[in-house]
Amino acid sequence: MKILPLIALKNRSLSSGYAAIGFVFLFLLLGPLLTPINHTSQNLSVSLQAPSASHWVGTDYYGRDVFARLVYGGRITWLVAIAATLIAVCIGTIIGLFSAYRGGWIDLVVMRLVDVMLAFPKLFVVLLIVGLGASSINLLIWVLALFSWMEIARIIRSEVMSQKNRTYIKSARALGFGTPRILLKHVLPNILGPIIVSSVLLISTIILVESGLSFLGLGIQAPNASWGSILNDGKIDPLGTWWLSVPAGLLILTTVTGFNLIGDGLQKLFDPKKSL
Amino acid sequence: MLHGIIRRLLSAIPTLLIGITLCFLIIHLAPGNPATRFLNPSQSAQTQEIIRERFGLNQSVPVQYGHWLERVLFHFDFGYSFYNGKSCVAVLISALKPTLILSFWALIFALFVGVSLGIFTATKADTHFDRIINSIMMVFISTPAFWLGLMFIGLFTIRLGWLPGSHLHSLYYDQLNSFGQLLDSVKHLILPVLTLGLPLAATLFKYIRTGMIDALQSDYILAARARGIRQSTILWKYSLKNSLLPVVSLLGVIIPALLSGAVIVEVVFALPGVGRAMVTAVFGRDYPILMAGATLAFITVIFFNMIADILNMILDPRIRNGSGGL
Repeated sequence: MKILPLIALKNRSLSSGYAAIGFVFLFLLLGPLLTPINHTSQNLSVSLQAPSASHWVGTDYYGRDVFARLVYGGRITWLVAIAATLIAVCIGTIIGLFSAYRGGWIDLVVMRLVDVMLAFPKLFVVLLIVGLGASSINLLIWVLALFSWMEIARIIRSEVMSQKNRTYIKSARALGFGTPRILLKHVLPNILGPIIVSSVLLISTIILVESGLSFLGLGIQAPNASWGSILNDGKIDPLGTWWLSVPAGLLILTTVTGFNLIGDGLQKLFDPKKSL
Repeated sequence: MLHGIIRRLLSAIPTLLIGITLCFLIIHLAPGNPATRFLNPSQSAQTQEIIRERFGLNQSVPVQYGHWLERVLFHFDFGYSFYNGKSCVAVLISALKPTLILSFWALIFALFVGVSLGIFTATKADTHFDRIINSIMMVFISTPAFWLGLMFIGLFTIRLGWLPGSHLHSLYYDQLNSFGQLLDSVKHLILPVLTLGLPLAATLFKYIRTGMIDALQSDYILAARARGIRQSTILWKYSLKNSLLPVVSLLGVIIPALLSGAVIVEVVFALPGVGRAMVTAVFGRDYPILMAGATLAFITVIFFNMIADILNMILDPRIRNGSGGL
């Protein structure tokens, strides 16, 4: 796999996706430099104020600065999504590689497990687990990861299956290389494309699930913020207190659209036939 | 084909068993055990013991698992709610109607919009119209349903006052004549159905459009064109049939998405459905309801996956004849 396609800007989906993600990334990175206000400090005397010079995106019910909460909440949303995706990709890659390479009954059992786990509506299971444990960022990351690796495993398995009988693998086997070496040094680099595409698309799915959970009051807990919990603050009168509901929603939309566009763009570059 | 269908039905049995077991394990492997999560430490030791005994929490985990499996498989009994003591199945069935109504109409809306726009834009691939529709659909795929719902409520309910933004009926529903009741129900359903249906329609659109573009560029369509067959016949009779096949397989993706989406939409629009019952159960630590809800949602998905596979067998001769898929 060449690294060049990752920065190919002639691809319209890819360049729009990079622009969207770049914008949100800069907002999250530089946000703290623009506001000295702590995102958790309350001041009830300025509760629910519209945007002004002192509070650029207004304040919430407790008088907390919404701009600061959007920045720190966004950081938490991104952290959860990226960490859960990385864990899911590691689990999915290991299981997918192993299952496809060993084949036989191991493959059968693993793929049945994948089918079973894919059949669980994700939000139902996450609700079940989050409802049982004390809500924490770590628990959220692990739960999201443990119910997101299956698609990656399935894709990796089918990619390895298609590589398994190629000449370079047969040659490596003939040279006496062990299974781990063949899988990690020879097969893995050849299937990095699909792994990257599905990881990028997974980030956007996880952002949607995490925001949904936080919106329901079950994800990131106060005083910490997440874009979903900020939206929850604005649900009584979504357009009346638009500074609570519109910017957070637009940031989720921009991030998810950005990652989806990057995923689609990379898919077109790596495998034009499969691109949707 | 009958052999294939029977084999598919049988293969669902181990899947169901593994899934039901996983639901049980999730409860028992999650941090803390059900007994400590449920019991109030301020209760006397005697009260705690009575509660443990009543809900079977004093037994070992394998014994509890055996009982759970037996009750679920042979009696379809998921135990009793910790909150009000009612049977979990009864609680969830009473909440089923709003969820079914919402999901059914959202699915019909998504199929109608997704399929018709998908076909139409495929015939106009790479035009400005195609690009605009494609971009709009990409936005809908990425829009969080709860935000879409909030914006609809803010605009159409609070600002314009055109449509109601909560519940299935008005308070004066019973005093209306049958036409009035129908109109009232339709008005209450428009916003939740759009909220759940639009992201789904966008996903279907993406698959249908790609399938149609592929089909329209394939050799058999070229051959049909060369034979002078009319464009409309090519579109509706040849291309559509082949590009609709993946949609049947997509049932496996659509049903979990519908169920998960319904949870959020029911909360946003205050609909008393299964999703809202689940969220209420989370806040009340009512784990029998949570376990029953997750298991029933799982069984629903497995059922629709099976239907999708059987439909595929009937529609696709390659699968029917056992000569493998694509």
